[in-house]
Amino acid sequence: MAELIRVSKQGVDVLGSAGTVPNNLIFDSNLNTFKIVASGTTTGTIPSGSLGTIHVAHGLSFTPPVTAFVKRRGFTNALTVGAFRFFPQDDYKFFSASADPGSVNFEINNTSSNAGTFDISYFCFEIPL
Amino acid sequence: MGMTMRVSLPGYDCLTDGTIDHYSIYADSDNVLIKEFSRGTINIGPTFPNNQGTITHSLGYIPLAFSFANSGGTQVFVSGNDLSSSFPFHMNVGTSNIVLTNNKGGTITFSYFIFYDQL
Repeated sequence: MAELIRVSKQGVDVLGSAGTVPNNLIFDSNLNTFKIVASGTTTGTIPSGSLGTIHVAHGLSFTPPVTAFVKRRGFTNALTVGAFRFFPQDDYKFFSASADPGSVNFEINNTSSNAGTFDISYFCFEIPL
Repeated sequence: MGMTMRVSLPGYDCLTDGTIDHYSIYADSDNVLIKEFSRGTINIGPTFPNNQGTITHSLGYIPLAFSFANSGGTQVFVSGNDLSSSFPFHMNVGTSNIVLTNNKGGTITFSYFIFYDQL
């Protein structure tokens, strides 16, 4: 019999039939757990009414899949890629997160009439197929 | 008491440390590790209707899913909204499939990961 480790969610009997349903589990050693291989933060300033790209070196030996969250300095909401907020809120659009062999890159369209400083948290994932 | 599984990072005591980012694994009912259902790649493009690709998952619910587009050697995170003219790709996730769209032209290779974890 193959060995495995399973941890069920609260209220689920890991030894019963419900314990074989992946959505009822916290962890299953038979299933790959998607791994973050690198993460970090960076900051950049983008002029008013401008589309800018903020870069940071990822330090990996390959081009990783990446996602990120950005928050405009002085505001409270963090945006995911593809999200945007209009004036009188944060007034910018998070266009894209991408990675090339050397760096991770974040396109932000600052639609405000003021220059903005943007704080970014990013996560690089395991190599895709 | 609910079950938990924790593996601390070097220098931290997993029996006493309550800070979640001091752990390489911190799993309980409120912090579930995401479990991979399937992964793969699909080539999409260049023009309508071939600028969309569908991956069937048949899970019966909307799962967590990620997709990344390889645009000239740059890996681009694919969101639900293609705001960027440089990377005009987007993804929709449904209860039986995910649909990827390439509005850049040419043929783009998308990598996708679908998880058992329900949104």
